[in-house]
Amino acid sequence: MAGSGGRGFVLTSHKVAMCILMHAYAAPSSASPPFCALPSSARHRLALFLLDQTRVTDGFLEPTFEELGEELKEDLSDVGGMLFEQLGSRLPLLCTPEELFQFFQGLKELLAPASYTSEGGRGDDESLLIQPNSLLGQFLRRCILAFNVLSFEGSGRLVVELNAYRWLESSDPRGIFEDRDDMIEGDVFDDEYEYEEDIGDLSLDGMNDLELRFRGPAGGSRRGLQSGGTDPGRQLGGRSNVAAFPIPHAAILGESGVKTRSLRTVEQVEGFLKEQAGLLEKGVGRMPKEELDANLTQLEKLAPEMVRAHYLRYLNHLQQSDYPATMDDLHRYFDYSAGMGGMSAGGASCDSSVGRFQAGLLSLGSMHAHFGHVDQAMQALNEAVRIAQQYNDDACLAHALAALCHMLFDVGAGNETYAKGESAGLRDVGTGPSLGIQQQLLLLLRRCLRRALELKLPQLVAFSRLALAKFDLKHVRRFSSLGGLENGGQLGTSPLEVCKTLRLSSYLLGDSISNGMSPHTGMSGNHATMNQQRGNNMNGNQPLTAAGNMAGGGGAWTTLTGRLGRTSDTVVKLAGTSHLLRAASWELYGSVPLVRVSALIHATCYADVASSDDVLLSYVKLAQHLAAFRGYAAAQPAFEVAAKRFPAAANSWIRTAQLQLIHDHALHRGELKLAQVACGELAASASPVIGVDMERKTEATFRHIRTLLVSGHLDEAAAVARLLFSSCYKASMQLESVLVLLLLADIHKTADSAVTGLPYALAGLTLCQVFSLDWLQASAKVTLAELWLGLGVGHAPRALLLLQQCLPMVLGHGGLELRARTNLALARCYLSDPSFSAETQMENTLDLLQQAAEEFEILEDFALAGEAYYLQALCFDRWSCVEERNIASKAFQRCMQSLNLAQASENAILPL
Amino acid sequence: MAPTGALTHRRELRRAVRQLRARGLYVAAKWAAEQLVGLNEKTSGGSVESKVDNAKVKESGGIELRARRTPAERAEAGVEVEESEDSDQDEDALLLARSYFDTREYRRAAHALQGLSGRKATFLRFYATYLAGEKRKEEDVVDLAGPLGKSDAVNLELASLEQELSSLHRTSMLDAFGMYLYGVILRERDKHAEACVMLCASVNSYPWNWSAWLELQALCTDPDIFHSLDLKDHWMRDFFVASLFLDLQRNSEGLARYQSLYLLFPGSDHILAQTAVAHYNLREFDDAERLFEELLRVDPYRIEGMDTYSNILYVKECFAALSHLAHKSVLTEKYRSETCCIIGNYYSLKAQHEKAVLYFKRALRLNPKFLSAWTLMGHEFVEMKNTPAAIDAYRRAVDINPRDYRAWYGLGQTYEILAMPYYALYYYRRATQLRPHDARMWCAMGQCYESEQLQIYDAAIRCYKRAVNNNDREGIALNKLAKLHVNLGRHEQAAFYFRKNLERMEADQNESQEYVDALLFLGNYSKNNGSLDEAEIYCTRVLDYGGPAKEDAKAMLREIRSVQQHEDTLLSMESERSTP
Repeated sequence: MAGSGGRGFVLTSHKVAMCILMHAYAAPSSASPPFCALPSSARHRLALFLLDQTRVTDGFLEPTFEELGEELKEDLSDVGGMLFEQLGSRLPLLCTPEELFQFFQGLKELLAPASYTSEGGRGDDESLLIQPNSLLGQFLRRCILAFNVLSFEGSGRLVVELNAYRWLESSDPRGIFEDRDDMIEGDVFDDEYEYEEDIGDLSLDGMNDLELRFRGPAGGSRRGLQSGGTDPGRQLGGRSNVAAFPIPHAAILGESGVKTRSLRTVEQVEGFLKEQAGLLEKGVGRMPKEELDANLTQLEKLAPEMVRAHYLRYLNHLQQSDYPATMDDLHRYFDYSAGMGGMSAGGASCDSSVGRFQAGLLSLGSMHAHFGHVDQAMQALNEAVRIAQQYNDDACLAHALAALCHMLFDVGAGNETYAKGESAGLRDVGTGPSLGIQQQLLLLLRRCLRRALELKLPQLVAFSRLALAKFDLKHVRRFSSLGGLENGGQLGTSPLEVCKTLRLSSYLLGDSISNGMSPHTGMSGNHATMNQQRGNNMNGNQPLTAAGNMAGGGGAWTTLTGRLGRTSDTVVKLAGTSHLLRAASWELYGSVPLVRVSALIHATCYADVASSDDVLLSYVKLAQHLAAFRGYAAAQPAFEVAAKRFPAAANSWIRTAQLQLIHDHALHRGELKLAQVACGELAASASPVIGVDMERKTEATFRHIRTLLVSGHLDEAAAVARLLFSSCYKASMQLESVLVLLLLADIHKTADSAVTGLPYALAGLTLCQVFSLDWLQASAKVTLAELWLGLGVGHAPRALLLLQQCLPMVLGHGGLELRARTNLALARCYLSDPSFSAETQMENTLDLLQQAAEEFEILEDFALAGEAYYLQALCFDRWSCVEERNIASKAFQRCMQSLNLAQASENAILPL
Repeated sequence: MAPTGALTHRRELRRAVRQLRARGLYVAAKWAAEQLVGLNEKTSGGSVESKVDNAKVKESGGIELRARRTPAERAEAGVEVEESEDSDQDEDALLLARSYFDTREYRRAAHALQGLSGRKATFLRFYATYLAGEKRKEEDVVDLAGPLGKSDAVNLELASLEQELSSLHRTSMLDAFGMYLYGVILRERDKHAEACVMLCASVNSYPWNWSAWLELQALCTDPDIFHSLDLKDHWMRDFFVASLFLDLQRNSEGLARYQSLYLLFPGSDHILAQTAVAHYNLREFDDAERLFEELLRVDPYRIEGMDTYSNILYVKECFAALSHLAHKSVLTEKYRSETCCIIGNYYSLKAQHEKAVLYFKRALRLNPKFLSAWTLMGHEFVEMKNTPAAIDAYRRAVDINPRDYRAWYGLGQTYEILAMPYYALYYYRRATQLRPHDARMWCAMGQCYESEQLQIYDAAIRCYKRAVNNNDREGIALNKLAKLHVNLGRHEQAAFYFRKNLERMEADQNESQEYVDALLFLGNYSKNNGSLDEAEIYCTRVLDYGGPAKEDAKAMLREIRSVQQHEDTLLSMESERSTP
């Protein structure tokens, strides 16, 4: 690196090469050996190429001479090759400080004077002078300035570097050493150059040295120099008797890889870091960690002041779940950035040092949340809130509140002790200790929303609206106990509210995008905390990573790259999330096809901006939908696609969904062993901490009960179910408790004691109505009808009525299983009806049975399919259609055989 | 073993000084010479006498002794053979190169050594090249340095040197010195494991190179690394182990080792200085001060390690002595980072923090890796309420040496000042990991937990208990424990700790408000528990002091008296009733 002209802009060989190219672009004929004139289209492309070069962020190192050549050839084809050759012949001309000086003097002429207009200038000599204020002009001016402030040592060093730069075009180090004698002849600065006798096989005696030193500017190429030729560059270099500046070994060897490659400008490096951070956050488990690590180590060596590298390291370690290293990096990053207060790099971060502390706490909080340390995260976030309040940092405060909300969602359903702990932890946030955790969450969310609206932080507004909608979706509210809030006094959910909030949020999102929303700069909070938000009811340990500090300078960067700003990105991402939330709401309130529609919208429209978790979720939803409507066989390929897209171990969600599916499948088929294993693994995937991950744990227990039910351990199943119900009730997980109630009813139904099952089913039905869970209600009604049927033939009309009530729902929105169950139950109603007339209703009934059987067969539920076939056979028998009866009974036999086979199977190996 | 040991040591050291000097390893030579002079004086008679001794020894138990000496002798022999193998012409070239080397013209020296094949010449050539690179690097640092000396300047010779040395090493052409240089270069190239192996090999074949030991010490950042080292037994190893123990903050063990070494080298300044440092680390300032004074008496122009002495003087608030030391150091050598540090300490003591920072900055300019200057500068920034700068300074100290518990502690303190106790906890935890037996660390952590923001009292109590168990000299922990227990309503435990605190304060003859508070609480507690006599004793003791407590005590005494009288009357009534 040669000297420093202003902070962050260092004149390097690459930049000199760029300047030469600029000369070729702007005034080809005025260069000292004139460039050949380029066609105007090529010039245009050259300009674009140069522009691109000043802004690329795909790496932090400047390209080598060779790489530059390749890029030139790629972008400009033949013209590029020619330019590269000219460049190669011109660079050696700059072999003394004097020539460098002349060169930069000449560069000044490329800048257009104030009076210059491109139209006027076009007439003479094709020169297209560069406007000083254009991007290229700025670059050129910075180069000239950097050279002007360079010390003599600095320019000397630049010359040395230019030599090394050009020589590196040969990737074979031997080639360099073959040139060695040539380099030595200009051994002017002997303290800079030290050569070793025993490396090359050339031995230098004094004579040879002398001879070489005064070798005239005769022809011959540098390549074949062994026998004393010189390169074209020497013709000029020889003039001042200083042929070439020696270069240190390390530079030639390139093995140290340090000095030969220079950093790009600070802006470019920061852009690179930002991009990498974004990639890290988006592509969970898809980045090669070691490569990034090596990159960062190199970067730290080259630019120790680039503290953001520590941040990237932090993210990287976070992804690898390396807790101590993550802690270390986080603290190091914020310690250093605290000290950077006045001297922020490249104008990208303009926040005061104070803001950094809150950001640090915020990140610490989200880091702990990521690792599942709920208590620690709470403490950190509380402290963030407090410090933000102390320094009147509203933006950070809002973000901290949002992060707290997010945390509370995770712990939300925690047990009582947890809730108590939290209320102590929430002391500083200002909610009273007497409130339950969910009320606290609601209050927090409202506070968050209000603040975000005041501060006009669109992504936060969107986040809080979504979170509110999610809250409404998931929690049954009793409004009475909250002073100042609506006094409904009624227990229930509010689908209308959810719908309203969701619609509102998408309006807001649409607005902010179309308004071209000014990117929010200088904010130190973590935008990405919210990006991880998703509206789904199976959220486990959600990673709350924070790209906020990288995003701090979003604005500045946006103008440079001309892309949509990060904030807009975030908002778009949230818009996508709202669709997922919509899917979740449909799932709860009743329509499976609409779930699919929403998930599909997300997967097709937002896949590029959404966080990987969101995309994953939409994939999972679609796969689940396939399973529900096309059977398991159809879902399997979908999962394979998803697994290919997210290959890392990080995708525990895919695994979870897959396990759920495997479990369902095994239960239907009757493979109990497999079901048990799947259920066990599902339970094991939940966090071991009490009160965390409650949803996943509840689900695992639920599935365990179902396994017990199918395997016939009814007493045990009922006992566990009661326990589960009481724990759900305690944790106020009302929606789950409805499910458990229905399951209990099912258990009793299987135990053939329909009387005892009825109260459970009725309770479940009532709750479904209250909570507006239409789909579940339909399912409850079917269960109820089945129970009535179990009570005896006399209750068949009542059951029929119930089934007919829920038919629209089932046919319109239900999945395969529900439909099959309804069909079978309907058929049974008809058959057990005493007033059943074979003539009028037989065909109808047979049709229903046929449908049910087919659907069950798709689901591979042999037991129920068998039942359907059995009934069919009975009907045919009564109708005395022997042939059809035989077909049906054969099908029945087939089903029973498969069932027996499955039940006997010892298969307990989970498919991967 | 002492006299014969001393004899061999003397012989070995004499030879070592010569050999090290011949290779331009001046620091190691200096160290060896210091130890040579510091050897047991009884055997420091004339050479004739020692020869006689030598002869006698050989007669008596020659075989045994020889067996013990063989590795060392073999190494020496090897070196001698190599020394003699150079031809005359080469010898002349070597002389020229040495002269260049001594005038710090490293490139010329390396050039003059071109083509010479002797081991000494090869080493000197490599070493000169390395130093030339270092010199260049330092010049570059001045040119390219960013704020506060962070820069990316590297020694450009490292790569090529590494390549050559490794090829020589593969053909096992490297002698102990070559391996030392190779180790140094490997370390700078961040290949720590290989560097460790190389340096071990070097000190095993030539143990008298103190610089090699120091390099090895710098690599032993962890006790585990030390245990994994394969080191031959040698008395130089004892020096290394002692020094390493100090570095790893295992001060008492280090001190014990130095004391046993002291028997052999009673006049060694090095041992004296290290002992002083050990005492300083153990916070035995008086001992340390005495030792440093002794050191300065013997070696009045010494600057090495004097910054530690200045720290002691700072802690003891010896203005005059500190200013004297600073003045003397300036006269001796102005541009030494230690000197600047001493001056910085002086200004810090005078509460002129800006000036102090100036001098610490100068010290860092002279040596950017000067650990204590970073930490001390951090302290100054804290005093100046410039917290970001303080954090930056501390952080750099920690990055240079992650075992610098002072800097970790300082970071924690700074964040605590910023009212971020939770964030500070991380740093205190790091500090306690490094000094698990330092009560101050535990107290600091306890304070964080206890702070009104966190209010995690259980954790705080645990921390303070650790502090008490680790001999908390300032006595913060006992009082805090007592108060915490009072606040939590655990009066019994509170009384226990108040009593302990009383004992401590009585032993220290410390009669502050704390003392009165403790007495008052204990009086109250005893009274409520019904042991009125005890309560009376406590209350009367409070009466010695003024202030509102006195009135409280008086009131309590009155109450006690009335209760006592009441009880007396009751008793008398009962006795009256029982005796009709």
